[in-house]
Amino acid sequence: MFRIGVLGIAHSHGNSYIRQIQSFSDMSVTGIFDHNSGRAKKSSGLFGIQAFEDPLELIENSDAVVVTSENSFHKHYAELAMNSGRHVLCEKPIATTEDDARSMLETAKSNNVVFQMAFPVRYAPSIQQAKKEIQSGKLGKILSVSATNHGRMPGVWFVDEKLSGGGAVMDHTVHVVDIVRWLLEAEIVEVSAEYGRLIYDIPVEDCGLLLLSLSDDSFMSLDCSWSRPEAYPYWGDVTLNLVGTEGSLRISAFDGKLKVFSNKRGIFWQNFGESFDRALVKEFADSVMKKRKPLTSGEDGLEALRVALAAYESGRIHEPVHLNH
Amino acid sequence: MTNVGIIGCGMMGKVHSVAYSGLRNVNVKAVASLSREQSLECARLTSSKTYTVEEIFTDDGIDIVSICTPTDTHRDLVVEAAKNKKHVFCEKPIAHTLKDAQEMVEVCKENCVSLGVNHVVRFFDAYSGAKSLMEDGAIGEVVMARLYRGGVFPRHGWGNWFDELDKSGGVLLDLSIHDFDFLRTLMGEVESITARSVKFTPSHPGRNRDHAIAILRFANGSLAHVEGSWAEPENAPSKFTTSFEFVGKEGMITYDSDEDFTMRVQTVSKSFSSFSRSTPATDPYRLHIRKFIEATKDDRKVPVDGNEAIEALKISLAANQSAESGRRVRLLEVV
Repeated sequence: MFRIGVLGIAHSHGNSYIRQIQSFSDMSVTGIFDHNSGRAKKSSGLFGIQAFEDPLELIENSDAVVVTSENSFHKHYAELAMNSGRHVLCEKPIATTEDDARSMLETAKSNNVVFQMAFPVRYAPSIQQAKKEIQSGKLGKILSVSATNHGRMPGVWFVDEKLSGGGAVMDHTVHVVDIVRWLLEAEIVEVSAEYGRLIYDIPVEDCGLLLLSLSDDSFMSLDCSWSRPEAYPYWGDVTLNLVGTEGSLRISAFDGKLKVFSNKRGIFWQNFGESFDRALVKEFADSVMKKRKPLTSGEDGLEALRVALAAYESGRIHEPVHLNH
Repeated sequence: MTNVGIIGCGMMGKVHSVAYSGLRNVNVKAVASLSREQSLECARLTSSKTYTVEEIFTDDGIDIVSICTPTDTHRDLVVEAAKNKKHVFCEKPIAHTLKDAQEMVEVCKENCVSLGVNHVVRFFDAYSGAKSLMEDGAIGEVVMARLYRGGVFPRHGWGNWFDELDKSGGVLLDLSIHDFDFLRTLMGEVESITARSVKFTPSHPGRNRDHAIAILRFANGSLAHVEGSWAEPENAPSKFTTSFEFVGKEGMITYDSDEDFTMRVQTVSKSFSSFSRSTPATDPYRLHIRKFIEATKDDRKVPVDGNEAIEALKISLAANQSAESGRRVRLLEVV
């Protein structure tokens, strides 16, 4: 039995990871810790798992942990587990500063534990298939990518920079950057960005547009805005439009859906198809068992974070920001 | 009766021919083209004669001249038409350089003729409908926009001129200018632009690709993402697509031309296209031209006049500058 503890349940993705872990017969959720005991109790009741008051006690009772705390606490909880020799599956973004992220990578390495990033979209069937299509060569060389990761404005701690590290740019840059780095096998070498607090009266930016140059001479844009209105029937999207020398490829990763018009429940879209989160959790267990690097590694987390941080810098100085590799 | 001469009988010449011939009290008197075959086709569509360009300019019976030739020829033709006291309805973009465009506007003013530029997207049902909804406050103050316009490479151009960047200006100048113009009417003046583009030019004949992305920051703080493409494969079932998304403080409006068809035909026939579809939208060219003619008759400002076209051109030129340098370009730098 692979026993996984949950450190922090600030991020709602945590609930989905718990559900997926519990769906595997050879995995279990040991329990949950959150500095906010009310939040821990809620998930404890929801999933029938024990709420711990001491994170170390939970770590001692687990083989590995999922960290879904507020972003700025990722380093603290991840390193607490790593230093006890526990493997870590960390919610994105890896951390809120580059120093924190590098420290986490060091700690994972020195303790010889698996450190996986929760970039679930990389496990989406459309993204996995896109990788094969690109590898087949049928699109030629990819020249341009325009991408979106739209969402609703999440509120709560996400708009508190001390806890989240920033707004829409911090929240929604990393998924797509991770996908494109993997699809094109290239690094982001330059970042230009425009962002602002355009829709909501909140302390962080809610809209952002990034324009990135890649090491293979291609370029990409990314719309990371929290721009889906309340009235929209779905939380958001991950879309990519790739243009190559021999063809084009479009992805809308969450478009496997039913459109529901219910007098009782309103208008909404319900997804079908394989769960990305399930594949993500399975990869974590496989990596631990086979003692190998996971598909979405801590290093991937660092690279994606660097792009988000560079976007903030570019927005401040109104110039492209270079990233060294 | 308003009499019209059409110069240039390629793809847009045909579109203008069809648009004019559906209008009451409008008569296309003559068409002119370097291609005998294409001018005969437009003459047939409009039940008119074929003239030389010179004959169109010197015919005192012609009130309006439509210019449907490649962009780099617009200046000379518009200037000549204006000097012959014709109102001019010119295809977009107005010109490929700011200097040309300014001269055209100046000469039309001196000769007291109207200059309209065919930024027809303003007259497409989906775009004008979205604009009225936004003006009615349906989604609150508009703060963000995302527009796509693209498809296969326009190989139909005379001598493949779209492929020559110094003539067409590439996709940011020839195609995305539609979206730049529309955005101006909605969100006001652009402050700065950051753009990237792909250019595969004559070194790869038969493999033309031109594709670009631009991020616009408006003076009022709002943002827009504009993507233009001539990079889709020629055998793609959908040859040309436009889509948009407008985000306001109280909601969002989206549109995708690939989804707006109300009829679809698929056949095994070899003599017909195997796939076609149609939309219920009204002819935006006819609407624009009708409003242009009405304005010239009433001596009013025409829709999308030369000065507005210059502002759209500046955005495209700034986008090309940014794509070239990698820098963010402020619109004030375009002079």
